[in-house]
Amino acid sequence: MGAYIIRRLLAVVPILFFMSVTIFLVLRIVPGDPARAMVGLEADPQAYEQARDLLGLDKPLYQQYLDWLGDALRGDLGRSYRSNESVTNLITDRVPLTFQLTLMAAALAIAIAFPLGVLAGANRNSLLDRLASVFAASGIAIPGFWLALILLTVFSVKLHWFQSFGFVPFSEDPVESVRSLVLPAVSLALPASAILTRMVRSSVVDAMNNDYVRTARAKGLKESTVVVRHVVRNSLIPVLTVLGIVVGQLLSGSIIIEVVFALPGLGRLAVDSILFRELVVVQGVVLLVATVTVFINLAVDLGYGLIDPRVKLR
Amino acid sequence: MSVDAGAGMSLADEIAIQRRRLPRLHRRDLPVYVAVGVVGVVALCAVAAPVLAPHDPAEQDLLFQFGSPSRDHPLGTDDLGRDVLSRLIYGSRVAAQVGLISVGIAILAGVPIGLAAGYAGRWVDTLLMRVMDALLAFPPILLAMAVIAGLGPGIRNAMIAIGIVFMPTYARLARGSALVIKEMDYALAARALGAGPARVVLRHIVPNSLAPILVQASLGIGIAVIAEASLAYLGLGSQPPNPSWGIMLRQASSFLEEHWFASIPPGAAIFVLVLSVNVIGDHLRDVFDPRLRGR
Repeated sequence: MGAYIIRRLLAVVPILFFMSVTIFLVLRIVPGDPARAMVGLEADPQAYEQARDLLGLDKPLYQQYLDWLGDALRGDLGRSYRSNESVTNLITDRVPLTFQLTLMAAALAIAIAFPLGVLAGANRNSLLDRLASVFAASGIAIPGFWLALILLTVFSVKLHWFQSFGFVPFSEDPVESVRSLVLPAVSLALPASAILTRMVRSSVVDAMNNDYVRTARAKGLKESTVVVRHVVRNSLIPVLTVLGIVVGQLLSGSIIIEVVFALPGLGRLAVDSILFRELVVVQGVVLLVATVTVFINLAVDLGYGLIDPRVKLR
Repeated sequence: MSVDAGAGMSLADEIAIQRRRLPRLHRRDLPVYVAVGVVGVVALCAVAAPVLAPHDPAEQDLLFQFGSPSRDHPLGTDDLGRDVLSRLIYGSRVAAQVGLISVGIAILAGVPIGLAAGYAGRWVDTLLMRVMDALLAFPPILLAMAVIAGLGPGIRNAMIAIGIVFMPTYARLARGSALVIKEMDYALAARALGAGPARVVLRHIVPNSLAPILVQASLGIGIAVIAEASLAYLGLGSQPPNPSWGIMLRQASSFLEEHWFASIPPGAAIFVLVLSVNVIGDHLRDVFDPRLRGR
């Protein structure tokens, strides 16, 4: 197991390296001059030179990258031009909301997708299976923010079950906090659970065709025991992979949902920063979310090793 | 894969074979026919928008804001009194443009990279695919936003961003095909006859690796349409007054309390189009790779 963990950890290094280079280059090769964008067109030459100096634009590109990466690793992501606040603070203020939203949505997506996918896969071509297929196809095709708008209209504007906007921090009032994120979490979770349902179903269908299932049936086990004890466990591995991807998508999907519900999370911060051309902030958010996503997928990889000892040998 | 008909075969024989090969209209395939119909209607709207739209999509009638559906305005009017149906019809142009161009960019950028990696092998392969892996490791929307942050908001940059996000998928597919096909007897034979790398790749590898790329492209169009609408909703994609479905949703969201109906037509249009494109894509995948059928 030790060697396996080390191998997986080492595989992450080049990915993180190329990701950081991508983030750096994409946001550094801006049409126009970042220093000019920072001080404005009418600024005097001295302020402009100061800005160039501050951004390190006179240094060679690789030096700029190393400086940026070194600072980022030490937790310094630069300063916002607009508010002069440290980007790290701006981000850490907003992480709890986005984290809680992602977690709630992931829990919900799993709670929908697992039972539905297992039942559909175990009863292939039944009415339930067909309904599950329709659910999955619709969930994949529906734009999440449109679903959010519909839920907002029905449950908040018409029925007044939930407040439309606003977030109560978990530390202040856990119940209200969860309540304030129910609609956003549902809008995030439904499309994600569609993908997961498909995956769970096809994985269960695969597992049902195995010899050990026939053996289990032949020795007289109840069908429900066969499914729960033999099929579900063996169908977990492919599902786990997709789960890692889905959590990553939830994390970035929350960007749009946060804007729909006017929630002060990471997504709102990223979108505002793009509109105000505050690339330092965008860089910070993208770097953080991308890194977290890579580590979620690493955790999933390590999870395989625990569920299925065969994986380690590969 | 098509099989060349023998030279001695009569036209009647050929037609008989063709007919047998055509999939029969099956109840199970009904969704596919409906989906083709929907995509056809959207394509028609995109091509013939000026003929089909009852009004100019930009024509304002400030005395008739949020008008209810009527004979003159079948889907009512929006906050500036513009005809919703006409805007919807013109919006199909944006959707078609976004779907085709973003996927086109992804294919034109990704496939050559994948072919080069797969055919050249060694360090070229390692370097190119490591970069592609890093792009794949980004959550898609996030990468698109980062690219737009660099290039600036707008529909053109949104399409470039979506193209970059999709690029690694096509690179991987093309690389996989190149790896397999370059060892095939016919590719080896071509090389033995003195064909250079360009000829082997263009004449032998590209034509034989098209099927999975086409399937992926058909599924990609749907994702691209949703992605651009999302970006437009955030203010990062197509911009007003362009009558795109994402923009219409963005405008509708400001009047949810009083006029919730405004959010239904553009959202439903996206949903139905993407659903149809996906049904077609899934069907194409079944046709090209029957092992996956019923999964």
